[in-house]
Amino acid sequence: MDGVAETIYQIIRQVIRYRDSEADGVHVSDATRLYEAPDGLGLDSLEIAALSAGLEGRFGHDPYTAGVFPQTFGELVSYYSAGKT
Amino acid sequence: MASASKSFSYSVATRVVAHLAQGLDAARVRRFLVYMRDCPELILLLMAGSVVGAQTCVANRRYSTDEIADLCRRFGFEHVMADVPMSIDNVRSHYLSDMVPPKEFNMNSMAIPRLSDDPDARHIVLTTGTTGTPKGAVYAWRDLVAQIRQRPDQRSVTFLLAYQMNHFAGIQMMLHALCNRAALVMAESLQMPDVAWAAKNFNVDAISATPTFWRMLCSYVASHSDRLSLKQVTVGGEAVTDDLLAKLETCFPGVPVAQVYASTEMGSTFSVRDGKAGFPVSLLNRNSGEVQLRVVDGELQIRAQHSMLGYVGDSSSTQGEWFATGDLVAIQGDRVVFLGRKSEVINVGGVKVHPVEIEKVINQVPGVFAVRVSGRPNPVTGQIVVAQVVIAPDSNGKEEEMGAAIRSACKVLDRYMQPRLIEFVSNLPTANQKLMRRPESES
Repeated sequence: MDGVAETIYQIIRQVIRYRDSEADGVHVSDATRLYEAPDGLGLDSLEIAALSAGLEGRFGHDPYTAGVFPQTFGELVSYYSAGKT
Repeated sequence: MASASKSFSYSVATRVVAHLAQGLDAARVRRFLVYMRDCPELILLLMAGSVVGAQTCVANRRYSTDEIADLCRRFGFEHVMADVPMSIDNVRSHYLSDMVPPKEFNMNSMAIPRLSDDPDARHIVLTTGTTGTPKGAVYAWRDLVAQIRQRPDQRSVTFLLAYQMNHFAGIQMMLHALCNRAALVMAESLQMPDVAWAAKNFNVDAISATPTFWRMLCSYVASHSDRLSLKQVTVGGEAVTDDLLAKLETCFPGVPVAQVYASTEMGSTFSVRDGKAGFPVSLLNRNSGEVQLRVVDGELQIRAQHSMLGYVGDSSSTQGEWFATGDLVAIQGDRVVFLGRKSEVINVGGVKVHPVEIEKVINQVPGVFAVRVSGRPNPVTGQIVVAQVVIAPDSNGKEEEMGAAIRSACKVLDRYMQPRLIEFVSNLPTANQKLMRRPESES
């Protein structure tokens, strides 16, 4: 994972820390779906809210506030990679 | 009355008050705004004002000249008693030392009037006004004095003033001490080192303060292995929770704790001394007495005989009417407990969350010095819960570990209440020794 992807991965890990199941074991790839479970991360609205706030805090802006709803981890990473260049 | 630099006995204070009252009379000052740092002289000036039937008001000393000018214009003050030179159009600025009685004034021949005798004497208490301009709650001095319970056992007590004089609680504390002829100590500031120094140096017996102030003082005392020999602890102004009562018991073992309920508009209304959070349901819905309480839509309403007369220039609230306090309560068994301020409620995806309940949990995590929970605008859920935490100076806890400990403690809370962001800060915003928990505004 490059820098941006790694940063976002760490934010996601923080977001799901309230879950009873171990947050450490979570693995993601570009194709990982953010909201579906069990085939994805299964983020619910509270976790998406926290993700939005976490991304905003780290990058100064976030897709959800901008009205964009990335579906996969890859889409989320490319939202920032695209903005960077 | 004592501060680090000055002290006044009651006999000297009475003479100074008489002197100032004559001076106010001679200068024909009938209504004045006070813009001074809190000090014993400020109290004597207010007493002199009440003696001559003046209208007085204490402004926040942090206000700018523009804000003072605005207050004078809105409330019609033509005189400001200041401790700095001030230049405001159409307003005369005075120093205390300008208040000189006329030459023929003979101290010995003068009968000293009693505080609050003059039915026209008014005092205006400014609301905190975190949003918009402050309103002025107008009180008759005699109502303020009528709220004070005179108790013979209070006469030998030394109180420390832990409120600013521009707020209701400062006035109330001043009158409680004066009416009971007790001693009142004013620290150099309300910062913990100054407070602890004054409390020890003047052998303070009693402090009345907010939960936020007490949390800070307990933490300060614990981390400096200091001891304060208090005999009386009074808490008010914010919701009092069981964890605070437990903390006070640890810090001041065996010292009785009184919880008072007071507000800028209703004044000091009732107190509870049973050591439990909230108050007995039996106080609700009484049909007689100077103070009546009821709960409407989860909000405490009060009707008090000695409340404010009304707001300056606004006849919407008057004395003797029911007043919505803005404090949300719940009835749990035979107890009415405070949930927090209506204005501080966080709306997480349609679920109402009370900051105080979350703070209660986080405050019990070892290493937490202070915490403030508030809402932050969020595109997904409207608001999310943010906890800002100050780590105790003597704690070895690293932010990472503290965050984990706080999250772990918060697992007992409903998912909507769990703070989704935990930020570590060096201090928390307060107003008049209360935490500012209003949701952050949309930016």
